[in-house]
Amino acid sequence: MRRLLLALSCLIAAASTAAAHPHVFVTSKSDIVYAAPGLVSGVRQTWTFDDMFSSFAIQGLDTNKDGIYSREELQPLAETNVESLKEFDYFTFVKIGGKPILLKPPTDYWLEYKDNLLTLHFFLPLATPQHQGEKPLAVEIYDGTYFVAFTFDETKPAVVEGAEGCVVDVHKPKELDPALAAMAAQLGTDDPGTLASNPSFGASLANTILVNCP
Amino acid sequence: MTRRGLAFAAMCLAVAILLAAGLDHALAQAATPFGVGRPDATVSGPMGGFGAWVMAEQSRFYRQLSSAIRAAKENGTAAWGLIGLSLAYGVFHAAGPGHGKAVISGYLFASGATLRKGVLLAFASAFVQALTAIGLVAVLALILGATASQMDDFALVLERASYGLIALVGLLLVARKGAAFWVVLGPSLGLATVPAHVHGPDCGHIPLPEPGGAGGRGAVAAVLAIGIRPCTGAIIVLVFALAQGIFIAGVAATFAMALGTAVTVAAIACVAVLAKGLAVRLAAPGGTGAALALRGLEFAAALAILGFGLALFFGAALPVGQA
Repeated sequence: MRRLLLALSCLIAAASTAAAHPHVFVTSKSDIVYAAPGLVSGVRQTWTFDDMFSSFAIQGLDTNKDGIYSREELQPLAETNVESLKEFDYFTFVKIGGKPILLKPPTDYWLEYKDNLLTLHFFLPLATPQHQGEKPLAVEIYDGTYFVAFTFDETKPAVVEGAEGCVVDVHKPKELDPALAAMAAQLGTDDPGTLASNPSFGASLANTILVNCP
Repeated sequence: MTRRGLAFAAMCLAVAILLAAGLDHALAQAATPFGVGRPDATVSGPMGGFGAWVMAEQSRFYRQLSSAIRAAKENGTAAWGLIGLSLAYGVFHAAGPGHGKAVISGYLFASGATLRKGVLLAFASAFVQALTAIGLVAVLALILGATASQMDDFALVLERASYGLIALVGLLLVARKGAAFWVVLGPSLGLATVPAHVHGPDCGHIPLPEPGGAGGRGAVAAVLAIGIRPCTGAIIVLVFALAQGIFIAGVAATFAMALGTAVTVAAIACVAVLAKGLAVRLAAPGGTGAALALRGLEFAAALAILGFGLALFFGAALPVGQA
């Protein structure tokens, strides 16, 4: 009898466990932009959404009903996208030599709809351009709440623009450990930076770009 | 033994209440990263391997839905694959976060319904939820050509209505179970009570609604409370199917998801009904103490639903980013 009750309380606990799964899947490409060799000025993101979210997001936006979702028609959505992303720090975390670098709101953002997929383009400037020196530049891309799942583009995950001879390394997250993912989902949206402060999370969930320049 | 059993029952209920109380931060008025598409409300609880596995599975099924829908467009037999996939997704999705389970199990525990009614509630609420999602997409997207954010806004209204209804169901139960609890508690505290006047259901003086009544209004309210909040996954799938020109495949997938959800929720509902049966049996031979514990548990379950509904309602009322 007692065992039954115990089992029962466990069941109730298990049943109430948080386990929201991602509803948006993004394939990410990044351009690390240098204003001059050694001087990092920002990150240009190119994020392609999965087909289901793409269809959902563009629903009703073909205002002139020509069957084409033009950049102009999609611009209000792009606006909404970047405004909403602010609270999530644009899911982009830049560090030089391990030190977090502040970013400014995106400039130059637009949406493109091609082959049934929606792609968001935006440029994230550093608050002030930074001299990288000998230190490694790291760009981490992830959603700590796991509503959005990021994956690097297979062919061109990251390129350097405006500097020569830099070595780019990309680190995919490990095959997502479900336990970690679940813990991530539990962290809540109020603190997207939490992962950054937790090395074990950061390493497993983040897509990391490392750039070393001569 | 009886006392101990009751103590354990009290403990498991306490766990459930704590979980409901732990809602506040995960509560999911979660802002939406791209401004469209609302995250599902999540109930935060102790995270174990089971929850993680559930999440991984539902994520896997969800990812396959889009190709299944496209395949169904090419040939009709692939539609069966889509339906199977949606069913599996529903089973796992319902095992994840969700307000439905918490409300149904709390309701069943407090009101003490039969297994049959528990299963019926689970299926009815899942079915209403499917209808809500289908209705929303059919009217807003198909007929009115609404945008994603307009659909989100409307879903948000439904969500709040759902949470308000949950609180209302909780309130009705609290009134009813509070009265029943007081009938036992009052005398044991040496306070005089007038049972005839407090016994809501048996007494004409206090015409309390009867949430626990078989097939009563309370059950309908509970079903509506759960069902009028459409799930984000279903809306996205429906809009995607619509864009592919096979809305009907989305409708089929949504009903299959609902069926899967109902299976899981029904299983949990059964646990609630059995737990209640057990508590009643344990209390049966006992005296005032046992009756007190039983009524107390019912009252606590009613309070939990009320708290849950209020937390969700006010959580959803907060502007984005404040929750």
